[in-house]
Amino acid sequence: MSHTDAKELLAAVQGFLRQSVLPQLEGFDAYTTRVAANSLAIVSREIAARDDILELDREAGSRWLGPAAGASPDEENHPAARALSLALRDGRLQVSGAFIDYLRERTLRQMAIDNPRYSGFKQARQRWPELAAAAGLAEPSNS
Amino acid sequence: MVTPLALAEVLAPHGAEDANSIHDLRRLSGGANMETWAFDLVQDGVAEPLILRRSPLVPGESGTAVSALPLSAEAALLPLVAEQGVPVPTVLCALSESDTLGPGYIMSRERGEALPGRILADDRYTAARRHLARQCGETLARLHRVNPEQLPREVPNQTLAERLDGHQRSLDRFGNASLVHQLALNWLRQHAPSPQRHCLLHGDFRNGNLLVDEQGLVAVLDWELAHCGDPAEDLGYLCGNVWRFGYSDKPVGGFGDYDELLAGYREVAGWAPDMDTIHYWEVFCALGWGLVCLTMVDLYRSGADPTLERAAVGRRVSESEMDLLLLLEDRL
Repeated sequence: MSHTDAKELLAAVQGFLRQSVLPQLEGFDAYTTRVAANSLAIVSREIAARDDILELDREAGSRWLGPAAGASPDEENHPAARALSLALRDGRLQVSGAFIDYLRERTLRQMAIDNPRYSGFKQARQRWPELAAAAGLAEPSNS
Repeated sequence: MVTPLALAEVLAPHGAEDANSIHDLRRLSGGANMETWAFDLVQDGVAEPLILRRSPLVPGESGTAVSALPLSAEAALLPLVAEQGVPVPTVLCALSESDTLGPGYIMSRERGEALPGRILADDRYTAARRHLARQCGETLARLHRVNPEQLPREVPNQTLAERLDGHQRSLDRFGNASLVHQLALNWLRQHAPSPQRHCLLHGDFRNGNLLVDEQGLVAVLDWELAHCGDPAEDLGYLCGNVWRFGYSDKPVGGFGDYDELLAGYREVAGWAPDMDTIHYWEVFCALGWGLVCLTMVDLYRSGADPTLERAAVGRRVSESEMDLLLLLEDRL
């Protein structure tokens, strides 16, 4: 049997907060404890999905700014997204349909990590079903 | 520290004798960038419900996305808008930075509900929800009538171009991490309306800052983002998706429709903004919300406010990005 992995630890702490701590609290402390448990849920989802967003950014960087903008694969701070953002600011990047689609897919993926219950997430998946499906985030058809 | 004794000292001119005059002191949740406390001042067996609003942090440096009004100016503003018929709490006393509890002020605690979740879902507010959008329109028209020359000098008064420049500086300062924010800012520059009017705005007029009872609007709260600008801004801001709290099909605060809001406004003001201008300010609102989130992250990272609440709001940046992409669809 291996040691507890990071995702298991996160799940265990979330369970502890929600089932053992939260019932004993009220008011501001209860609210903050819910925020704490939600934050751990975000971290769990990010561990599973972050590499996909970095890959998407790298592809976009090399497509619109050239291969050099892809940057190192293990960089955590989304260097390609920043380079693209500066190009957009300085008018060096022509906004095309494909570029907007990249932004939509990226935001769908980020939203799935940060807050999949946000109203705009549902709307976006309905409006852009092909992009959502490509990102593995299609709305269940019976919902 | 907010204690009954400290409150009794500042309320001595209003009849507080000692710590025993202050009952039921508690911090209210909600309000991420401000401390709000509720308590009762008891004299001769009669309880006066009061609110203490204080900001223990040094106000944000200029140039940040959230340039909050000093609470002393906020306290001076409330009587001015009350004169125009805007329902607001009554200010009892202002607290300066030299007071133990300051800066801040103490005001009447009005009865009502401010939690959006309850206002939008509870059966007891069904009738209120029917009137609220129209009442918001009427109220905004009244507050836009305040004579700008009477305003406290701290109320920001920038042109739209200056504010968009400020937003660019914020994006640069926060590391240009969001492509969608940059795209939206570029769009806001290219589509800026040329405003015909310039007046006092609440600046944060939305579900969450509106106190509501069974009949509708009771009081407008949280004036810290008041500034001068295009009156359409306050109307568009109220319709931002982030302030619909999940009820996206009701554009006005999650409770009403555009035509009700505009009809209420038109009835009092004699005119109302067009829908393209409302849309413009919804985009502005969504970008502004993103910058507020990033400002919270900045406060957390700098150590100025190391609370979990600040750190967690940083993960709401993507909500603003999603809203912006939805708003700008077919308009790029």
